[in-house]
Amino acid sequence: MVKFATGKMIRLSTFILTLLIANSAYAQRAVATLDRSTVAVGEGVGFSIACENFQPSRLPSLPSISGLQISNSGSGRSFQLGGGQQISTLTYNFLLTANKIGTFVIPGISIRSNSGVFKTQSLKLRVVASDSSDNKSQISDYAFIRLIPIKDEAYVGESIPIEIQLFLQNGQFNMPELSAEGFNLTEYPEPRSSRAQKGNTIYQVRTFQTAATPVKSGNLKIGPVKMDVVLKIRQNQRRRSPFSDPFDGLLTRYQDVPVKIEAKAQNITVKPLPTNGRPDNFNGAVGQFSITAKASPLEVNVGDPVTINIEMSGQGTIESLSLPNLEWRGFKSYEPSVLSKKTDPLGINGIKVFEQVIIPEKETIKEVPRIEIAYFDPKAESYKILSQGPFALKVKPSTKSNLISTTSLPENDSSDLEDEKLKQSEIIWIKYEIGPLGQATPFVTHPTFWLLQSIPLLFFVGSLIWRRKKNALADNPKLRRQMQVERNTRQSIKKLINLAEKNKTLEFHKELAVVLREQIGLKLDIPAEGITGDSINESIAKSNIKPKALDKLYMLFNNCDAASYAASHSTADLRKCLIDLKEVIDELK
Amino acid sequence: MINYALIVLIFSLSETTALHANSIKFKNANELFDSKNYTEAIQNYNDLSTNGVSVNLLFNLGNSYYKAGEVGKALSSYQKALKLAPRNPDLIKNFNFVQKQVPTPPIPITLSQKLIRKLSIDEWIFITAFLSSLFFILMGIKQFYPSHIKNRFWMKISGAIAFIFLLFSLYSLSDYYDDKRAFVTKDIVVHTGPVEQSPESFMAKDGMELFVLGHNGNFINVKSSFGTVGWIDTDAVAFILP
Repeated sequence: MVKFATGKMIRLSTFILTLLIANSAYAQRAVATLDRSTVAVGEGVGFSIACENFQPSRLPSLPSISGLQISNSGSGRSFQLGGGQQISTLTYNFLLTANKIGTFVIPGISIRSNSGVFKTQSLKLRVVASDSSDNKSQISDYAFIRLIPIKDEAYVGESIPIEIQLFLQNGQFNMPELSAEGFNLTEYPEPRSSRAQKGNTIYQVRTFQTAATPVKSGNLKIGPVKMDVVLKIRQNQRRRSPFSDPFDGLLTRYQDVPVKIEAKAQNITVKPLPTNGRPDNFNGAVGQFSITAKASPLEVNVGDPVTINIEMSGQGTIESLSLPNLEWRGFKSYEPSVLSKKTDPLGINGIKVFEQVIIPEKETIKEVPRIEIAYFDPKAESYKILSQGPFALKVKPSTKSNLISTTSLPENDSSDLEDEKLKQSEIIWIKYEIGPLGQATPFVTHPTFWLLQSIPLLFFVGSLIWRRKKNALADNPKLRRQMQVERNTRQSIKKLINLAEKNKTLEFHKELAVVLREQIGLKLDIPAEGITGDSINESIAKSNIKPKALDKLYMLFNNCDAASYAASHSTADLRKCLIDLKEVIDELK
Repeated sequence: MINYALIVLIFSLSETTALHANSIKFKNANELFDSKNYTEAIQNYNDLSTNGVSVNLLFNLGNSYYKAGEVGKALSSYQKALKLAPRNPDLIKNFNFVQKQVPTPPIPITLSQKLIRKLSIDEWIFITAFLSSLFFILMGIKQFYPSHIKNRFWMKISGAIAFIFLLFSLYSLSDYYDDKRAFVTKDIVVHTGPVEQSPESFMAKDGMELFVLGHNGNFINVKSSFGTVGWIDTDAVAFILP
């Protein structure tokens, strides 16, 4: 028992140790973030430094930056576990308030810890003039909107990140409606949330981002941006006085006020792409890109496919990237397959992968030619060419027909081969007989089909019923006898009527005796042969036959016996006998 | 009795008249084709197809489309005809010939689809109907003469064969009504979304075969033989259901 407990303790300790080692192995880094990258003069913006998986040996501090007022706003700790990762984060928060317009660079901050020195990345904060329209209406105390294009000058096809900041005290909002004639806009990703202080008011800030790509040159306008907002305004705010209800404030009521807020349009100067130095194979890509390409296999037979995989990545309108025409001489090429992947929510950065299949048609081909893609770099303001290859290719003579198989055809190898032999140069001519014209619906949809198809089924079902009935009869001798007796009785009655009409008394009574014996034999479940009126006295008395019918039965038996000695009855007597017989049969049933 | 005979006579006469009218229309369309008036020939063949279709009508329609430079519609007509007569050598040759004019490979088909398309849907159904009828008749006879049919092995085998053919027929029926393949009928941009303003996914050429993934309004979600997915206008494709 002790041994077992010791083993368990060792395993537990090993597990904890493994966890600790694993924890120490997680990435340690320092990350700096700004709530918003653009603010107005006098407006506070949150700046935070997150220390992931390490403990700073002293509090990080920001250097003094001219034009920026920096104040400490506390710290917090968080712990995340999931996705195979464990992140312990200690966050130091600061509030930055700009007092002049411009772009401020917050340098990387070095943070010392026992495990080394970690440095944050530098960040840029753009400070714009406070929008005077913010203060024009009373509504702006509760909500206002700001439209911020990150740049005001761009080339045609160059993506311009756009920020729409909604400042809202309390309320609900719809998605912004941005007018952008002459621009292509990307979809809004999930808005970022932060808080901002302006004067004595604290706002919830929602930052919507999009990328606008100009499609024409000239002085264009982006905006205005409009937004439907439902403000939640405290009803008692305006009426508060020292003499009001002492419970006022406990039962605060809000009034929903729907308003439409708007930010004015911004000017963007869009320059046309220069014509000087434009490469012939330029097809409209604007941005900064890189390329990798590979071809495989590099040793093939004539007619075998070679796949060229081209991966383009970078910043720009990834969606608009397209491959130049790779229709090289000596190769048959097909439409490329394309796969795009955006690596940022705005879709400005991403990867596009092209997979092009080419088929060498001659064994004299020695290489896959160089692949060149041209683009315009708006930062360098010049065209650039990316290239990969050429790739050495070894093409061996074909061992089979180099024609691409038409896989969707119904197989008809002999006719196909014949076709190839004949080198068909024209389609086979039209037919001059129309043939049976009908609706192209399968026969299975016609009622006639089901009618015909039901015949063998009905035959089978009928035969099955017949067989079941026959088997049931074979297994039940009493039922079989009953049916036999009923059949014989029907025939005998017909015969008796006939005999009565002809007044054949002797034959009539012989037949009558047979019928009576069979009926009584069936009733008493005894053999019919040898039954007489006397022999059944005891047995028939026990059965619940009415006395009147019983009397008639005896009388009929006596008549039969008497007839064998003196057969002299009239037709009327015989008919009466028949009526009595029917009554007796009914009673016996 | 006289009334009945009169009805039959009127019906036969109207049928004969309709057949004759169809033959004349077909002849006219053929003459237009021979005189290289392909567009008018197409119109005539299409008018005639409203009364019903035949393999030869679809064959001629395919030829007319091809001659008029509409490769996608030609391939679609041939495929429709191949559904009715999958082993027709002229159809196969023309389909092969036109298919080779298309720069993109066709959508590959599975081994089971190849097997199913050896026979037409009606051929599969007739074989299955015959085998199942035979099976039911034999089963019926066995009920009447149980002592004569003692070897149940063959009965089970025939039942199993009929069942297998029934499965093939059902598969063939689903393949016949399959609207998952279509041919592009004009050079058109395939978009990444089901709206005209969506960015381009790829350029589809006339005659390109596409696999249909779904529908959304007037757009069809398609996949090319290279695996590229996109949305194309319904009016720019021709389906292959006759």
